[in-house]
Amino acid sequence: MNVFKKVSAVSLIAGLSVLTACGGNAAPGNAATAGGAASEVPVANAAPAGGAPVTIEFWYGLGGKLGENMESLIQKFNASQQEVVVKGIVQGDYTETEQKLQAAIAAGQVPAVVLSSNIAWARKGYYAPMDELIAGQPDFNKEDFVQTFLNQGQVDGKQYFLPMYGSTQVMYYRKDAFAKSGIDASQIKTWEDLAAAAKKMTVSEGGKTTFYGWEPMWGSGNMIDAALSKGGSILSEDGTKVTIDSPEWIDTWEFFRKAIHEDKTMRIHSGGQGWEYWYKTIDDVMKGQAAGYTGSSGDQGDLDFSVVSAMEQPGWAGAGEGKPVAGASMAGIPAQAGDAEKQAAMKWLTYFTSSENTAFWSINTGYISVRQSALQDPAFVAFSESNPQIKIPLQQAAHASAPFQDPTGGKINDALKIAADKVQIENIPAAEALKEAQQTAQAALDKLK
Amino acid sequence: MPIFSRISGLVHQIFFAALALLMAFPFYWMVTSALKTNDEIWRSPPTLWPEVPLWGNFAAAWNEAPFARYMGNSIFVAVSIVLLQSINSGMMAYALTHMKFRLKGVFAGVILFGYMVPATAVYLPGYLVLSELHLLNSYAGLILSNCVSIFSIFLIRQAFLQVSHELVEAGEVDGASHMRILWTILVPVTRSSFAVLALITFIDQYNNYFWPMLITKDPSLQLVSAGLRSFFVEGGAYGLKWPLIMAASAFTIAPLLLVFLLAQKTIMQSVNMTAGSSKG
Repeated sequence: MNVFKKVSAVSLIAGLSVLTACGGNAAPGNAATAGGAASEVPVANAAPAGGAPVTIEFWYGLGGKLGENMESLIQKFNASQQEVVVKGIVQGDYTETEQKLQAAIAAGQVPAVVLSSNIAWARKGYYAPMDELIAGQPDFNKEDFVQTFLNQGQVDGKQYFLPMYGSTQVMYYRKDAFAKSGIDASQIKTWEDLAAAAKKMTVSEGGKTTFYGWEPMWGSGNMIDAALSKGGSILSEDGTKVTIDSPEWIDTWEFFRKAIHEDKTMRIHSGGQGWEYWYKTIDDVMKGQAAGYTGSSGDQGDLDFSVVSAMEQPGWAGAGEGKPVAGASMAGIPAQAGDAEKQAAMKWLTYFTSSENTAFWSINTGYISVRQSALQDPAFVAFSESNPQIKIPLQQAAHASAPFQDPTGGKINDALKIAADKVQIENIPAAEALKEAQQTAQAALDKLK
Repeated sequence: MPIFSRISGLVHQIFFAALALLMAFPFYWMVTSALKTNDEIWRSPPTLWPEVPLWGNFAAAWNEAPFARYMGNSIFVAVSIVLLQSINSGMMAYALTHMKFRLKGVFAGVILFGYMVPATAVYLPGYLVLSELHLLNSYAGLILSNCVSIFSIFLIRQAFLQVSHELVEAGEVDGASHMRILWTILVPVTRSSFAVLALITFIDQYNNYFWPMLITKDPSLQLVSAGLRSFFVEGGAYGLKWPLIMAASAFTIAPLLLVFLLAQKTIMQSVNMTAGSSKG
């Protein structure tokens, strides 16, 4: 009896698992056909000229002022024509957007366009290639795009993602602090100059710093930018060796460690909830507890430029001008969207990246416009006359490095992040931290072969 | 000897009072921070009571986002789930404890097997099922997808096991149906366990974040957890406006505290209740 019970239990459980497995396999197939059927409806509707408009969903994870600006552009687009209605769906952030997209792809119910990009997913066929869709847009003018941004969206020679806006890290400084110490921002060409200026501006009482000369942003980003500016690279030219323990890297990172922990002229805010460290750093500068900080071009929407001013990241003595990273936030069209939806999505992306609108986005958020012609946009020209800081990120993007595409899927970036924490927070010598990071990263890279 | 025991009693009481204060402190800190300015929150040494309590922060936070809608959604969804779970857990537990049928052990085994599957592993299959049923992005989807809980079934099963079978047999002799025995004999005797179920489930569902976020996209369906996060990102300006974030957090947990206050007595008595049932 007991044996019978056990056997039947096992077989029942096995049967159940098989059933659920079948269900799991069957569902995406069914859903895909359902999605296909659903998408044919708009095709039929869109075909006759002047028919019902195609309504598409656009998922984006932007809050605050960025979200408001996105919403206003969506409304402007919907009002500007009758063929496409974009319905913006706000997600918590970039990560949540991707998580939800993953579920949506599995269920076959995808949005037509999403502010998210994933090269691995593009290779697996979850995103639609855009080349034909772009060719269908008469006034697209691909050559006008900032080419580093456009290249970032290419996978194996095909355009899978379009840049919506770019960003790069620039320097924001207090005008009064610089004036008080007689420092001319235009004369700061190298990090050595900046260190000297920071030393001059730092105020300390009884061994405790009360006013910091500079605040780099927590994380590896700033220090990677500075190492690239000095001539360092993350991988060797043939891509087989991780070169983050070269003298360029060690000297650069040691420079920051010394300023933070020995000279105490710089400070790092770390940890906290979400963007807390970021805003604490900004707060220090705005409240007059630090002379300046290194932050995103996107911070311009939050800053008061009667107090601060922007400048480009410096280079290094003997190494020329700075070569910090400039990257783009990109949007893609999921492959499962119907043909009419894909075309509607491309119309929206074309509208968003038009010279006028990318300039509008740049003026209102501080992010970098994706077209060079934005520089000639009348609104942009007028705005930059009274707000010269808006041009700084664009100028810096002209001599920027492309963002690092981690072939290990994030392991090299992780190693750099851990090393940055060691240098910035734990005061571990840069040579030690970077050698360890190099070994971890190299091991991850070797595994790919 | 009496002096000694009195002292040890006093020590106990002081110890537990300190422990209780320690537990309550984060709540106190949250509420008082809601009354401070941003600078005062970060001041060191910290102030225990705000210099000028800014009661307006609560109203400001309440008006910056549709919190009434968020909380209404959460309470409606959580209460519906509590009711559904109480009913189906009661019926399931009754079958498992006081009914005789073939493969009963196997049945219990299968249910227990379900408990061992990690929740994250069923997110995607669950999403697909809801999508097939066209329940994504709806109240029905939010409620139905959470209306069976194996934890609840086992909680009630444990309670029913404490009730002697003679009680059920007595009912059967009197000609009562299974349903009648369940709802008029077993449930009243084990009502404290149902109170615990209701409380735990309500809190769980009220705090649920990832799953509801995944299956809804309409902002008007957002639960308070997702709403609070949106507020943190937008109204709270990524953690710049801490007093407003603290105020919003304070009033969003208010319903939980209220539920606990109401159910507290029943929960405290739960030990006696289960003992009493077998005495009778």
